[in-house]
Amino acid sequence: MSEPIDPIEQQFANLSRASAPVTLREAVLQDVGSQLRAQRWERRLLRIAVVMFVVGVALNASVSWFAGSGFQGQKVAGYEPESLKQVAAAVAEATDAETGARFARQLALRCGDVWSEKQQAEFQDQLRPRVGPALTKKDG
Amino acid sequence: MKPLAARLAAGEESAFAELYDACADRLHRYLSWQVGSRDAAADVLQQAFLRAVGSRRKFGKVENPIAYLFQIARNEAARYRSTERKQKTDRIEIDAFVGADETESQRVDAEAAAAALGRLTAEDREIVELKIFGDVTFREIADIVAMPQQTVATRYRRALESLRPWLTRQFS
Repeated sequence: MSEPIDPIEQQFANLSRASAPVTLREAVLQDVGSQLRAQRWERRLLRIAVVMFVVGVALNASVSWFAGSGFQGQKVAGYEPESLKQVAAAVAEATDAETGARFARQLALRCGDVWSEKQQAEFQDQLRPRVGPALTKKDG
Repeated sequence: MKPLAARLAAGEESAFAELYDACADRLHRYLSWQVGSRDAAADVLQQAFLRAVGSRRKFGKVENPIAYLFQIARNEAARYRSTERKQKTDRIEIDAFVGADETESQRVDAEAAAAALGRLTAEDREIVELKIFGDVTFREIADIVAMPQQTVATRYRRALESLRPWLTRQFS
């Protein structure tokens, strides 16, 4: 608080005695309290959102990792190469030998196996008596 | 105990109560002159406190929390005037600034002083209003209006000097 330096200052200072309304204090502090509480909640929600995001990213990463490396080369339980050959033959009967072989290759991959040259040859042998040479693209 | 600015920045409710108690009356007086009525000043003051809460972290970087609050309030008053399209007029609502128990002569003096302030330029008038009604130091005014402290002091004295002949006539 500075002292008036001049009668003019004093004159002005005489005008400035009015105080803020008594009810204003409560209203202001109530608003301030609500706003501070709202800010705290916002911070909490933001923290939860960040944690959930991190957990989501971690889950995604772990699933990708298992899919990419952990499961690779592991054959599916109950997988039977013989049965696969039969399914491929059935598809070939319904479509053609190339489609049957392609289907068998994809299915073998899904089951964690590789459709080998040997299996392909066996499939061809199995197919010949059923569909006949005219239907196989390879045989013309 | 932590300084007030640090407590405000941390969002302590009691710190805002302390800030209110430290400057509400003079801030309200200053705002009354800025926006032209005590009711509007109360609204602007309330809004200024909410803004201060919103940007409370800045309190940690300021030297003087009261000067910073005045700065926020000054901006709020400008916003209020622009939204309400209220231009400050030379004729100020005297009832807004003097209590109901004031005598007639005090009321006349208030009118004369208000008219005198209306003769100043907007910048000089703000400095005078901050000094007299806001009761803030030249250093704080310098922070609030972003001017060198020396310039603020010079403009203040020059403004009062320019009013001296006019006020002497009015009050004599």
